[in-house]
Amino acid sequence: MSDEKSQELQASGMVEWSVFSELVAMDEDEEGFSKSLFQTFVDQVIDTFREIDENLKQKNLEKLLALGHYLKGLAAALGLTQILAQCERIQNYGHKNNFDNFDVAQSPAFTKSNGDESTTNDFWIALIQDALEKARDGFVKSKIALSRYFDDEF
Amino acid sequence: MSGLPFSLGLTASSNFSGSNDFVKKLFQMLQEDGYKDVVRWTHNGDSFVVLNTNEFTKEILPRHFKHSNFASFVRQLNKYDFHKVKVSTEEKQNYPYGEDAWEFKHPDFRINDLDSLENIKRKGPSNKKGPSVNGAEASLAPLNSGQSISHISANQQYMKEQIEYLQADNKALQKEISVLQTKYKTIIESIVALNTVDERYHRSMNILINCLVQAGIKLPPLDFPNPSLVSLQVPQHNLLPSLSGQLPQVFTTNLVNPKFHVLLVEDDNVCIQLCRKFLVKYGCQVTVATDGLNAISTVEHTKYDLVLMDIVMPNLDGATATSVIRSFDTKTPIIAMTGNIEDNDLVNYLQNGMSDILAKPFTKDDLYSILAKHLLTDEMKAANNNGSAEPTTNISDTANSKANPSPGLNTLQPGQQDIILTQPIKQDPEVVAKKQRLL
Repeated sequence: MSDEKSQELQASGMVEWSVFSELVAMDEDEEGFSKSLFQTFVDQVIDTFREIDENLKQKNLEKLLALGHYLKGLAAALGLTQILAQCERIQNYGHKNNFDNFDVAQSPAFTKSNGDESTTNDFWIALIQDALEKARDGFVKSKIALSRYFDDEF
Repeated sequence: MSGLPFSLGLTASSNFSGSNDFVKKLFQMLQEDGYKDVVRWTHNGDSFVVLNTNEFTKEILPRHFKHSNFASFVRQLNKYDFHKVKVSTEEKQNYPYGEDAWEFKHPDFRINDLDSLENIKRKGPSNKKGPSVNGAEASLAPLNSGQSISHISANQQYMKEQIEYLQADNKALQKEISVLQTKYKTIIESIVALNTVDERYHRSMNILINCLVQAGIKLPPLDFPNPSLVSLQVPQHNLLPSLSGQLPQVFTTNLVNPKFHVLLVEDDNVCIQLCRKFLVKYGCQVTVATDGLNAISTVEHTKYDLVLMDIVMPNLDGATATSVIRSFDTKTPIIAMTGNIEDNDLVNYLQNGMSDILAKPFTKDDLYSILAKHLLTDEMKAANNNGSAEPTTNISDTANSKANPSPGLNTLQPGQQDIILTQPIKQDPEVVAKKQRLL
């Protein structure tokens, strides 16, 4: 890989370079290893996003936090920081922990207002919805950045 | 009659500056109706009556009001604007409470009327307001405790009963849990045994089929479920020791002289790819099992130098699988790979027989330092076989473990397995302390 592409990916802020470079270093004895790894990841993420969507509809917080936890692990292993941060939010909100004091009213995802917001699951669902949208956004951006780096469309 | 709302009212009142605690005490005592023969509400409920002043002075005043004589109690009542109800001589003949009764009345002091109590105020100028209020409060504190004694002992009795009941309950539940655990373990062992038998049948069938085909006998279509996903077209493959499962075991083929043989138990594809790659690079031959059941039967068949065990998996979780493996194999290091590093989880893993914990996500170096700790070199294996010491766990300094990333530099003593925690140490120094405390 050219240095130019490495710098471009680093500048994108989508990946934790120390983790990513370690993965790419694995290519030296198996060409295309890191690329196939990211391809597996992309497939997995698409599936997981779909599952999160379904569980958002059913307002199943327990399942949502498990999914957030799972995706967080994947993102962390591959050094995809943007997705990682949002997965952490999903996991925390699933535990009904507004750890970052996020003001859900600012989010376009929060359309319905409840009298006593924090006591209803709707509040947490709205927070997770927000995190999911940002995770999707991070995923799309990461995918673009990675596609440029690997010179291939994921 | 429930005393609860009133006692609540009382507690609340003692929180603000105790303006008419005296009246509330009186009210509560009357509501509780514990001294019917001495003092009680009148029939109408708009006044109360002291039936027996002697008993009242002897029993109730010292217990509830800290007044030494009846007169001072009456003075106190007067200060709150209570009035003695005058009974004329004629009325006295029909008066139901007896000749010696003292009836007191205040317009806002009525049976069951807690709210109106707030209207009853201590009257008169309060030049000595500060001291007098303080004095009242000072004397009220012991009063409170005096009146509550009966409550407390009743509550205590109730709680004792509850505790006994819960203890019995808890005992029964624990018994049941241990029975269930035994059953669960037995079932898992039978399943593993069944899997093994199934595989042997499958292999034998394959040999037979192969023979038949080679003898030129045409076989009818067979519904022949394949435990290791190896197709009928290549039955020879099944002659190798094989595993059941969605993903067949994966032997790394490009290793000429594998230093170690590691079993990777993991159900997630990304993790499998990544972890296997790291392991191969370290010089390990890697076998992958994708759930706990497969892990058990695989370890039964083959001796591994080390097992990396995910926790959350389909069919059987890693912790349970480990406890089953430990029933027939106490030596092979089993490393839990997990994102859950809460106290409870860690204790649970270690209790199930895990040798160490590798917190997810981990870097290559994290993995390698764990491998360095637990993979024994040949000389060490020999030494370990001579020594009868069971693996023991103790805590090592991470700096140490990081300083010795390669097995060659390993300073491990035979029979000793160190606990190292990798990734979280970098991220969260608290976890180190947590784990040291646990162990």
